[in-house]
Amino acid sequence: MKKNMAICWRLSLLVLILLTFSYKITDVYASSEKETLVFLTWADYMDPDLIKRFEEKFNTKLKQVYFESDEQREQKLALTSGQGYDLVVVSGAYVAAHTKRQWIAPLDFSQIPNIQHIAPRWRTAFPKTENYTVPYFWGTIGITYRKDLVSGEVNSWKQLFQPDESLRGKIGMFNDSKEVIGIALKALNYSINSKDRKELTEAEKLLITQKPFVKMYSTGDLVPKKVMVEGKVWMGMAYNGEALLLQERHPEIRFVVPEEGTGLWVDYLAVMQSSKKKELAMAFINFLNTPKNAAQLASFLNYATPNHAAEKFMPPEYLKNPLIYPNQEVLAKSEFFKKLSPRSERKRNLIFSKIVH
Amino acid sequence: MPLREKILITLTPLLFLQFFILGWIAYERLKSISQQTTFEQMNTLVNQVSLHVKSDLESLSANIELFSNSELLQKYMFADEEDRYGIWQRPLLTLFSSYITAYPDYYEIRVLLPDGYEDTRFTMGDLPNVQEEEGESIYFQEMAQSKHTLDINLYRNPDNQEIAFLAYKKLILRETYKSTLDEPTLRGYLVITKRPEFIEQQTRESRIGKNGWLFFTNDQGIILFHPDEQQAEQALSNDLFERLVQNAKSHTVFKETYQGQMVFFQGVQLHPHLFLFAVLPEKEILSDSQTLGIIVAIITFASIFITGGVFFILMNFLLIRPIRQLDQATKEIASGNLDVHLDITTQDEIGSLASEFNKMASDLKTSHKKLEEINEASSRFVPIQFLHLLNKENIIDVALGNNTQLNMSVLFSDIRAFTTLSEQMSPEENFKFLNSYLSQMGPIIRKYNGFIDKYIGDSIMALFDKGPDDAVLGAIDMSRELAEYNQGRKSAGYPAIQIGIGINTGDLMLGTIGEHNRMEGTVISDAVNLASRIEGMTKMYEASILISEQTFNHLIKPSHYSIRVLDRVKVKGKLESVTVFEVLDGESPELRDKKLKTQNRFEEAITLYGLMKFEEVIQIMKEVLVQCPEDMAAKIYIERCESFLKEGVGEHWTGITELYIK
Repeated sequence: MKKNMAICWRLSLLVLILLTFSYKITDVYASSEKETLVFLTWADYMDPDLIKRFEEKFNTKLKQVYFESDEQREQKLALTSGQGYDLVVVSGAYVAAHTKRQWIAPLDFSQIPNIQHIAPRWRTAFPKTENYTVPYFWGTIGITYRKDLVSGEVNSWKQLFQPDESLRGKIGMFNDSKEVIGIALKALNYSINSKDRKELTEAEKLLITQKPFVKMYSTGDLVPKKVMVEGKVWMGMAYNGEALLLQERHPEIRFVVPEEGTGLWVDYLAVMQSSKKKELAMAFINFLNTPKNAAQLASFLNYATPNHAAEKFMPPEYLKNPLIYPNQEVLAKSEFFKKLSPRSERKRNLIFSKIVH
Repeated sequence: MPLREKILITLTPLLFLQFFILGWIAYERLKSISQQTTFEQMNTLVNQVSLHVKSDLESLSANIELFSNSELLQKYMFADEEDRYGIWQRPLLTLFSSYITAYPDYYEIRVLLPDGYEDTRFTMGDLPNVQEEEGESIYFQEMAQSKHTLDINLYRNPDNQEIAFLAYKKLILRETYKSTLDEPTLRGYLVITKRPEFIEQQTRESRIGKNGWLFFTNDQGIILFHPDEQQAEQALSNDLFERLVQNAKSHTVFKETYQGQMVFFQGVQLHPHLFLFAVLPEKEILSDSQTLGIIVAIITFASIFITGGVFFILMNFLLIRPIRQLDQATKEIASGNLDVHLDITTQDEIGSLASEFNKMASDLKTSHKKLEEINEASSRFVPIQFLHLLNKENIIDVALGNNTQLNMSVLFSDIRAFTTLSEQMSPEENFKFLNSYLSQMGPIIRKYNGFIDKYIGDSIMALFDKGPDDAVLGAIDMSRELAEYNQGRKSAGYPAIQIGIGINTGDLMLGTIGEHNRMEGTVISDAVNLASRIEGMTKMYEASILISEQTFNHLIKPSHYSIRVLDRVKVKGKLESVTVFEVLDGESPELRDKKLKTQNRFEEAITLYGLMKFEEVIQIMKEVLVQCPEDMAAKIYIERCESFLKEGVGEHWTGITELYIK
């Protein structure tokens, strides 16, 4: 089983390299006819209608390449040294590293006039974000669960990390050291960005005791979308928008931001340094931030948009939905995922390797 | 000593020796095979373990080489801290995890930096980490100072205190991205910790024979792995270890006293710092040999007894029994039983011997029969009693001049007026008649222990050596027999014959006379003459049986017979006179009764005769004759007395009648 997994891993690496390589070819090939923008992003993180409109309007093609977690995106980019993509969705904590590696290019805001609709507090939420990125969405991480399968009310991370016996093998966790360890720290009422050895050791123990209950460590389209609907996983970590999308597929699926608070994330759009179509890329960013478009996209994805101007195009109940716009109480107890020191990341890597392997 | 015992005595040691030698050879051979097998088992085990461990170590070397060439690892080593931990460490850990999945005994894979910092560590399970700064550790310093870029050592893992193989590869890399001209530099160490699972398992489970075991030491003679965990970490004595190592290098099995017992050691060096030793207690080999010895002994003795038994039974059946039969038969023949026949029909020497024996026995029987016939025939000519009296068994023993003197009774019988009788018959009829007559008489004589000395024409001369009674009784019986015989003759129209029998008793000389080529048994004695003379007297007195005074005197029971005194006679030429008695039992019953009635008067007359009272004698005898006119003796006495009265007696008359007859 483990051997298989190892082989899978090697294969996936190979496929990844091949894919990257083939993208380069198709990129070159396509450019001879139509300009194609290659967009490295999360799966299900775009409204196809907007893409269609953008492609028509600019007589271009938008190719989405998906990653499953922030860490996977970093590896993908590292393998090509940031080559092969025009646009990327980056979490706030990673922006500075991208600028340092010269993967992303500074933006020419004259080409993105819709930047004016963005709330300034989001633009400056993380180092280097202001000049290199445009905020895309922000959101929370919470617990999603099957109300019909999980008894009682869910309101604490403890219910996820120290689950009821009935949940053995029914838990789904992200496959991202920063988020998994961060949330475990939060469950212990520590900071999600803690560097304290003792606190990290506690979190490690918590995760190790949780391990027998975990069906899978996976981010992206596997968890919780299909398995939750199918009932193979009854409870798991989820981004708020993702959970709300799921709710549309199964009415018993619920989402909650636990009372301990949570980690907040902000995604940014950035243009790759290696891109030959930086102007088109920026045009795409500008297109998305047209208030109407921003409103359409937000309500399609169920995430909170940093675009102020979009709010007037959105229904009031959407804006009042606490799952999309958490109330002040939750926000007060929550923190942004921050960039960690290399040694601190190392520590988390070593902890996480014991948990997922 | 019987044949059976002889065979047993000679055969048993032969069989025993043979099987004993055979058993001994088998035992020695099997023992050596069994020992060899045990040693081979030990050798095989040592070789197998050695091969496996070496191949494990080789595969560990090859793997660490392979892992160190991983592109990901190279990237990792060259990345700055941020990229390293932010990007590459996670896939690297996943890669390590896949290695460990593939090789579960590689339970710890680490990347150490040149200063000893434990940069990346992936372990199987949740193995606690004692320290991250390994710069001061002995193993790290050894590794850093070693001139090898790749090596495997044994060390005690501080994280779990277990002895493990520590494989390291120095990551001396050139930063290929930038310039190929760069000097490769030491960027760190890839270190794999391998649990010596195979060694542990072999230590625990391997057995040589029943009680032998394996143990492992390092190059200092400290026991690392031992089935008895208490002995692990203990050091062997330098002296012993030195010898062990020497023998391990020369691959020889050698004997040592170890922990109070003799054991066989075999060793091999698996690694510069690792030795394997196999231990086999000598006791086990000895006890194996003992068991083997007992089994071989049982088989040997069983073989001896079975083979011996079968051989003996066969021997008995095929050889001894026939020989015993032969022996028995021979004894039978020796004891005179010639009707022996052996039923041995085997086609071998014994069979032919038996058949020859049978033939011989049958020949013997034939010749014996012939001999008997000859004996019998000869006994008809020379009575067996005659031989016996000469103390001879057989006629062939009799030599000329053999003789003996015995007191015997001599019986003469004679057919009265035979000459007249025989003249009326042809010679053939003569013989026929004589033989017919004699064959009636012969058996009677033998019946009364007498034997016929000779026939003289119609006369029989018989001898009785067991007392005169036999002779008298025989004579009486002959007379009776004759009466019966005469009845037969009478009815056939032949005239009756009369015989006279005379008996005398005295010392007789028995012996052989003649010359060397023709001899005859004979009796020489006056007694014979007298007997003949007495027989002659019967004609005159017309008496059947007369006996001499000597015979009468020697009768044991004279009262059994009716006997009267007849006369006193003197044979001519002899000085002595002899009284003759008449045995009346030989007469016909009527005549006997008449004679008995007159016996007293008759004997009175005879007394008077001696007193020369002839007239009175005549008178009495006439009286007697009145009663018994057939009494010839009475007539003779009357005639004699009348003659004496007429002519007178001589001066010297003694009353003794001189016999002139013959």
